[in-house]
Amino acid sequence: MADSIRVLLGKIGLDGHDRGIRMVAAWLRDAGMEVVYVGTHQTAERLARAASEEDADVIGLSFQGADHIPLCKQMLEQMKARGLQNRLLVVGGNIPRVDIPLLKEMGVDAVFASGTPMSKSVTYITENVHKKRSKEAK
Amino acid sequence: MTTQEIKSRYFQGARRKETWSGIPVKTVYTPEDIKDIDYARSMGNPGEYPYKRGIYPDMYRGRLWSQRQITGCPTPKLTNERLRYLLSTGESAINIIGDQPTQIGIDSDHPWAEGCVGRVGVPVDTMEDMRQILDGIPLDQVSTMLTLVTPIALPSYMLLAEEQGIAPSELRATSPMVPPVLGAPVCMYGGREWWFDMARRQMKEFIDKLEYMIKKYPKIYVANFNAYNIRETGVGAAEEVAWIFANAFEGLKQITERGVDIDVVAPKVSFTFSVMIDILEEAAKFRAARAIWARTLKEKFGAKDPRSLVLKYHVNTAGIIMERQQATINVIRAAYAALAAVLGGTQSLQVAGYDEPIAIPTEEAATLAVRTQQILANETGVASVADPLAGSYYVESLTQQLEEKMQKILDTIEEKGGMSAAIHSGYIDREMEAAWFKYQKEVEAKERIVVGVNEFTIPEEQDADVAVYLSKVDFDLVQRHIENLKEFKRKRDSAKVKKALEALLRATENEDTDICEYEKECCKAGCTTGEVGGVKRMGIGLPYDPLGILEYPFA
Repeated sequence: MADSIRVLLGKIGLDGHDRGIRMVAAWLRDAGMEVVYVGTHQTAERLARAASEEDADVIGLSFQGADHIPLCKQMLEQMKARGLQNRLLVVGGNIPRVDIPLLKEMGVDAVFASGTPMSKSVTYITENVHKKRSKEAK
Repeated sequence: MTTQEIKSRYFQGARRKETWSGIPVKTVYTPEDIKDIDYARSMGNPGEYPYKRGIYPDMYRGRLWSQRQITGCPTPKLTNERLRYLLSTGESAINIIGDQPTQIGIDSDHPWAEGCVGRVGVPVDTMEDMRQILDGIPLDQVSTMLTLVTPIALPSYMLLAEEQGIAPSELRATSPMVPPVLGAPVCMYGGREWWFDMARRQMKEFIDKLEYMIKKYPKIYVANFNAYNIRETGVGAAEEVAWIFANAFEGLKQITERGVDIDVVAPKVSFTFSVMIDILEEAAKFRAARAIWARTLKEKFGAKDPRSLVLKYHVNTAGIIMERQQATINVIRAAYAALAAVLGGTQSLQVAGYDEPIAIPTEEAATLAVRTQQILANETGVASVADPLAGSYYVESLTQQLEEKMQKILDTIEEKGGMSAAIHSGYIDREMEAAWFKYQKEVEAKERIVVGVNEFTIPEEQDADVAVYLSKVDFDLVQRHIENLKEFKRKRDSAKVKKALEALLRATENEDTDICEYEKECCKAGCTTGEVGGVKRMGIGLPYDPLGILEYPFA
């Protein structure tokens, strides 16, 4: 099931801490997903364009710069502009627990704050990705 | 919980049979394990070559390590309040960190800075920001680490000291040059090619700056190599030391090839290391590192001055040992790591706040970190004796094994043509990725126990919320900082700004030896982080804006 999932990972904004997201990339690949990691210092616009071109099922962002709220807002706007609302948006990194409900309210599907077992992220994506894509495509 | 579970816990033995870095550990060590170690040749007393036992004969009896907490709040004023508070708690030195725009060298009003200003450090756009940060702090009394990265930090610091009437020869600071010319970008792949490029182009400027500092500011260190970031990727103790040394040796080789005497440059080199939680492995790591540094400098570089041979460094307790689950227990992790750093003989220490995996520290978390250092220095007794672990069968054996492992890695990198070549070949990335993947696998398989993460856990909803410093900050203050910058730019004498920037541009293009003086003039004229950095980039043939959006405003 996991082998049909296409994941686009990247970091938007100025933060260069990429250990976490590179580890996630390796882990998801290991689980059989097709992963494209586009690197650091991306913009939301570039990432949405890449997601559209790559036909990604999942967009994954990672934050360590305490800038996750404004940057997730930008990402969601760009996804909307390109009609990508039926793709999973998952976010990880150093995110205070108090911010998690806020991110979910904004439209982020799941938040895997640092310390989350990788296996949990794999399970979540596998269980939710097709549901979301088929549901909202109708 | 069943009685069976309690009983099995009662009979549970220590599960891990290797060090944090994966070196196998025996149940017991005996004189047999250290019989090949020759005391006079490979250890020596503290303060004696090869300095394995410490760089001073009296170690902490003479002077305790510098206790400095990394500090950077959302505005210069909030940062000043935090610095003054920390000094009032008994902190003995300071360390200021910039926010992301400041570190990358753009102003707070840059389009890309939106949402990033003041989030992980302090915004420094102008010398006035530096003035506010350091307001009321006597610069002749403190030693300052400027982890700000912006090119205006050090010249502003020098000017502010001048205003306070402090002689240049008395000013103490460590300020890594921008970009760290000698530090190859081992981690943070993003701007790696850019970094190599800058390093090549700025080598002469670096040497000039070094000579300028030696002549005029003998207590300012501009060559600081960062091993902390290497360790944060999850590699082992030997890799941390060997990779940063390979990096430093490559830099020193380039400098001495340009005719600079090794005993001129080497005494100005310092390091920032990480310290993890495997107490004895970390203490052994620092002991091994000192011996390798001394031996290589003496035997390979021909250094004669003892100041070249002693390894000087600052230590940050590791961020990756801090966990968000049951976050308050991180206080204990940081304390054990701090103990390891002191047992290893550090000259300077920062203890991470327990809220490190969540956001920049609250005042409470920062206070606990300072108190951790003070308890260590005054109550535990470990500061009373130089190198108290010496002679331990286990620690000496581990020190020797680590030394051999570090030397082996250094030899491998040298065979590959040096650190830059090793990075380009993909060797470093492969090692790094394998290390972090292995670590995570071990945690998920419970081969490695992390308290509160994969054992001794509690349901997430029962985990107490930790106060988040940034949630309590009034971000209108940050907005006001950005507005003030815009107004400052409108009101300043732009003819003076333009003149200062153009002088710096010409000096950079002509590889003038007094770049520092031109930078000072820019700070005085009111030039900003983005402008000074931008003009320096133009001077070496790169675009003004590192992000490629803004144009040079005074064309």
